[in-house]
Amino acid sequence: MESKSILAILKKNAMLIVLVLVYLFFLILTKGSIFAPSSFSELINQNTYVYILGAGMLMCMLTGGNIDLSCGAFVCLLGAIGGVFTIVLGMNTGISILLMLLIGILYGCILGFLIAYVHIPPWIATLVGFLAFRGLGTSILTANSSTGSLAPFPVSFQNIFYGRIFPTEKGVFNWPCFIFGLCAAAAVVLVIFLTRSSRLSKGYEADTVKIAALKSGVSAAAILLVISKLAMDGGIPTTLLWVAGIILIYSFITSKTTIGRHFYVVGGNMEAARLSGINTRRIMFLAYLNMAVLTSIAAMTVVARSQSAYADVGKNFEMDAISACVVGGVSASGGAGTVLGMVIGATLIGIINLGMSLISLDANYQRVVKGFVLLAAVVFDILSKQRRK
Amino acid sequence: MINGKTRSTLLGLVGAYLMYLAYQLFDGRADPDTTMTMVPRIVFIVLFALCGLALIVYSLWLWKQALRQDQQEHPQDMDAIK
Repeated sequence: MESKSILAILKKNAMLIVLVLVYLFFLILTKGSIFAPSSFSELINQNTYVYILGAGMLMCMLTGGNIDLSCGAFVCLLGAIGGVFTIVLGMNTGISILLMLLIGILYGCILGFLIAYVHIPPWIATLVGFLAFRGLGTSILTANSSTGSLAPFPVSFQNIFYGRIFPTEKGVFNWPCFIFGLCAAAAVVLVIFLTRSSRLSKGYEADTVKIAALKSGVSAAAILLVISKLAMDGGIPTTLLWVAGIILIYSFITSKTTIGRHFYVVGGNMEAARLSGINTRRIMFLAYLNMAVLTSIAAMTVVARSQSAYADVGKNFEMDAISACVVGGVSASGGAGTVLGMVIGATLIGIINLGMSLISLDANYQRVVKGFVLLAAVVFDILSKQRRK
Repeated sequence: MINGKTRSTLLGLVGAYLMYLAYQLFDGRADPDTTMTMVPRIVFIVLFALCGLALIVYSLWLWKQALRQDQQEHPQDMDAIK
């Protein structure tokens, strides 16, 4: 019985175990460079857009395999528009951010309307954006700059999306940052045990005390490790707060709210969802509106990090987001379609990318590795599906 | 749980991305800084292109199956609505 439950835990957390193994592999290959404080900051900063877009893409996929092919090109367009507002027109940062969000909401409303109410297939509706937005963004950039890019974004803009919380010198241990991490770890432990006692009080199945303690211990240790590394690298990046906030919000929505469950029901069987009284059109509309808003936020973090808006920004972003969902979601043992799965998938891909660049692997071999990772995820998924049959 | 249509879409996308990676490898052949020689390049291009194509075909087959299953499971509901 013990060995069966351990096997069940291992199966349930297969992607997490793969993540740890891949990290250990690169730890050896990079001779410890991937464990340096700067690598942790780099991992978070480089992959911020994947986590944010992945959350939005997951909500679209939950509605029945729908995707958004336009998010990468929209990042380019919105970056160009943001550059015009802040750099060319010299507008206030707050107003520029608000206008960029409003443009994202407008696009999301149009896209959601076309998909949910006009019934244009999502891949066609978003393909239009994929093809048109980059050209539009490039036109805006070339019309406003002789170099084809707009830079630099104001410091206030960069601080909101690419600054540091409790900034200190690198190499000096940042105690406010570490205390923040301690509070976060304590909060996670509290949530795990409160969830357990709530489930028990309602008569549901819950983890044993041992398993809850193990989960709490591992989660707290991981949080403290990451925070202590960031504490040595000048403080917590604001990108981490954006990512953590979005992940927490979407985890809550997908697991604890009625509307979150509606996304799953619509994806499971749209007709049954409609017959049971769920407004399926509204759910589809919300999925794409939500994606557009998250794409706007991702665009702001990306241009803040690169400190410029340029024509190539956002290339392959949609595939990165989809890969994160596929690797962390489809290849999981049946519990697919969770925010945590997407985060694990995005982190795994991020570690592989970071590890490959730390060992200065040739770009072509990096593509080969990406291809094999995706193939492995797909083969694992197909084999587990056949075993279940 | 992910349904048949979701799964087929995702597999189709992965297939398309693999073909795109094959194209990128082909496109990168003129890169003077690359350490990848001709033989492994051709092997990976062919491998990714074939796997990508196979996944796209498989995803289309899955999609058809999912549609057929939907029609078989809910013909009465569809009649009741009409």
